[in-house]
Amino acid sequence: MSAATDRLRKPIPEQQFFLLLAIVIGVFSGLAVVCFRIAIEWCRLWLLGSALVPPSRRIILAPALIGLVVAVLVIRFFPRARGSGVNQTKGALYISDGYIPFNTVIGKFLTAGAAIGSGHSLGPEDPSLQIGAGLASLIGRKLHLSRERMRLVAPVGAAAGLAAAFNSPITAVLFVIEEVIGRWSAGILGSVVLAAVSSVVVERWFLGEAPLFRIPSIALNHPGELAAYAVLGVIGGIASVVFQKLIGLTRPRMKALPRWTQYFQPAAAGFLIGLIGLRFPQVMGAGYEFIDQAMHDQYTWQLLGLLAGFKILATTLSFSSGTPGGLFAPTLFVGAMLGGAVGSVERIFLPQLTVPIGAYALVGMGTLFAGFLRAPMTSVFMILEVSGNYGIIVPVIISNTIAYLISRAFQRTPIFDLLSVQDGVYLPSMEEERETTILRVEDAMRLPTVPPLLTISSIADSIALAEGSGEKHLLAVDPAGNWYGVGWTQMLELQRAGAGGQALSGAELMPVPVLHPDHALDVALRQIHTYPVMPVVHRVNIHELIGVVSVQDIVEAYRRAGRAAEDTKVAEDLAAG
Amino acid sequence: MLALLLVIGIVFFLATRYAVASYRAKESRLAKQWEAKGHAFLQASQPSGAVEAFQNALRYDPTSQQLRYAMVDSLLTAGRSEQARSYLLNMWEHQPANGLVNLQLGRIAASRKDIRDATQYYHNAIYGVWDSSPQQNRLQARLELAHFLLGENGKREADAELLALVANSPPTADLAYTVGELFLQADDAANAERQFQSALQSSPREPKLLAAAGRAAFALKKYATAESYLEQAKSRGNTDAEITRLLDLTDLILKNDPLDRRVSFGARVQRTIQAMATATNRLEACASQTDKAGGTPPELEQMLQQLDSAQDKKKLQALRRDPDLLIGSAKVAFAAEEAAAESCGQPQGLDLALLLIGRSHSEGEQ
Repeated sequence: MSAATDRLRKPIPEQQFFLLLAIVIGVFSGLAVVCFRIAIEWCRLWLLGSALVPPSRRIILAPALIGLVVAVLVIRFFPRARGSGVNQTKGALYISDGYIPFNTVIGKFLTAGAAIGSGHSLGPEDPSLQIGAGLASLIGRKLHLSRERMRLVAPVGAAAGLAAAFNSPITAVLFVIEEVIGRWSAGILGSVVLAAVSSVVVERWFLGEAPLFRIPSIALNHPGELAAYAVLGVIGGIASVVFQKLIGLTRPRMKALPRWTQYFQPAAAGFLIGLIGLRFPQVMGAGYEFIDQAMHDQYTWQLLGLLAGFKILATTLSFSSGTPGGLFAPTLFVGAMLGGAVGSVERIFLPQLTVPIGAYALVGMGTLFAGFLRAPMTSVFMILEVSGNYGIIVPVIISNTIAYLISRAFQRTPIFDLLSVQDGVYLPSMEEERETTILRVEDAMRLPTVPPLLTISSIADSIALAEGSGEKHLLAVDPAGNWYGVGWTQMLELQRAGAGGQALSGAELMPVPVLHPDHALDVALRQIHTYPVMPVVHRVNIHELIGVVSVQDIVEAYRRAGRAAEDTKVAEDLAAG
Repeated sequence: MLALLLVIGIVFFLATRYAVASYRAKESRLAKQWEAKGHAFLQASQPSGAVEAFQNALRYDPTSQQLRYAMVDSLLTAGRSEQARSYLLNMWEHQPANGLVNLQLGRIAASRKDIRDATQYYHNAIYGVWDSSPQQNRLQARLELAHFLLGENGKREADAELLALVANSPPTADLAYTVGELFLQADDAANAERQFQSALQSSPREPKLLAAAGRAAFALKKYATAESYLEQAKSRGNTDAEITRLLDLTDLILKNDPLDRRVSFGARVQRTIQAMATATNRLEACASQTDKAGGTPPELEQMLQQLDSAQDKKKLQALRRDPDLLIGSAKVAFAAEEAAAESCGQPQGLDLALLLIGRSHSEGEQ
């Protein structure tokens, strides 16, 4: 901790200082993201022109030529700017103690901005997340924060960046906690929320209150509509798997090509995207204006289906070629198109169900978010936050859950984990962590062989009670419900010394903490040092001994759980072929 | 360090503000350019080009109402009414009380013959919010709705709309004439006549108004009044064939009513005899026509017998002495014309006059 930081912090306690710092990070991230979005818009204007459907010549040339420039910049100057930005931020958190070089921020800003502005099928949200994290990391370094604080500061910046890009603070906070940090902690939650909110305030100050899309009015008019949303969940789940598999297969193959080809891969991808763009210009860039149009019933279901398919293809090309840019916007685009298509088809076959197409497009976005990015909680809250309509919650939950389950069944590794493994980096999988079974005391405890001794009973009676059990470490309880450990040998010695008629409370008893069956086994491990055996008592009646736990019992429980997990994995591998 | 952070923050803030302001200015310029192009396309009757241009303009100024309306207009002109409808519905979701949006939606619903939606949107427009000339726009919306309802045979609903319109609108001659015409179409001749009379107060010599008042009076079976209006209209230059036809018919009605108490009893007897002879000819012609088509209906046969019986010599002589018999004979003639009209369609000339006279007396009795 530097003297400068100490001086700065002196009048403010550390916790409050970190909260204040979160606001500063939020403001800086918000400003950076506003500049990033404006830069993308300028690039689009310069490269593709001002028309919604650019002229053919520009459609072909802009993404290809910018792909070439971006490749040179990434390979020569900003190698860490490659990719979406989510894994890189997570990597910084787990590998380099929150350190993100500032040139990565510059590189991400320039290369992702140019690529998205030129029509590469990528989005600005994940880069914004990395830009926010990078700025936070820089501020943290300049303030010489401790290693522990530096690890926290990057996610705080990430949340701020994502919140500004999405104009949705809750979504950003949830995503960062669900996907980057992986745990809820009171210490960091406040900072993340403050940073996200302050960045959104800055973003709205400059860019206005308008949301990313105009949300149509939505209501669930008939329970039968839920079936259509379930169908959307199935289609969204399948599309998510296809999207993941395509990126998972294409990306390593393109990376395995000779190094010199990497200079041309983004250009080739850009050229192919241009060819798609000649017929379907909607797939170029982030595509928010087209999501808006889909949401407002401006396309036929056939066109919506085609757009979803071509967007998956275009995004796979852009992303796998190493062009910097995010996957959030394409995911939302594909989801909105699929949702719109399902809604349009439903309207043809079931005209009595009068839900607007926008409702399906909106739910479709959440569905793909849950299925492809595998952030189920964020996906639900994102739709609620974007729509501001709680009437949509049941369809969203149904559709998202189905898509998530289908995606998990056919693609075990989530996309971000897959990408980091492909890069040779083994980051903790938040999905695995979420789903790891927590072992509890009830999984390790065994039935007591001796009933609890009473501190008011005599030592002789206590010996008589425990005799023949073979237990060396016994447990006693006083009338107030306090538990103690008492050694068998110690009691025998006291009896030999003629103190057998004395109450057990007169012996040298060792207070022991109690456990309850629902306690995590980790709690037992932390407390077992006090006495070799710990009592597991009823929550209502703390005099009632349900079981006992020793170190051996805990180790045995972990062993059993490990073997069971291995068996499950083998079974899943066999099932997945 | 804090001071440095603050300075960097301020510089960053100002730079961002400059970047955003310059981009906003560019957006504003682009929106105007594309809007101008859109209008140029519309003027050159190229609505598809206009749609594209307005779409581009809206990308840079998505909140502009003016652009949105222009976009809807161009979509409608391009025949893309479904897209226009969906576009308007989006606007409606954000401004459900907007008069213009509701009016456009009402027009689209009307073009799709969707009476329920059209009525709902037109009503929203009538009671909605208008940026300029609210009264005029509401009046126009109500008139459009009445036109639409009349076109869809919703005469009662149209009449109700017209009554509401009259209650809430300033009494101008033009409006009174327009509304009067619509009342006539809605079979509400009484209100139509009131409107025409109101219009005539400010323009008493206007041939169009005189003719309209004549038609309303005719529809109300006030034939003397109708004749007066129609003659004035004709004498003031209204040469409309329909007016001439109505005037001739009115003349026939007034000169052939056997129950007209303004003429002498003898003249009424003559008119009754004439009426029965005319009705007999008409009935015979009709019976022959229906016979060729597959058989004379029994009611026609029965009516012919009644007419024969009424024209019996003795009865004709008694007619000159018995006013009740005169009334009964005239009624037989009217019933014969009615039966013939039912079987053989609307007659012409004196037959039509007798038919109308009969109906007039029948309604009077009721």
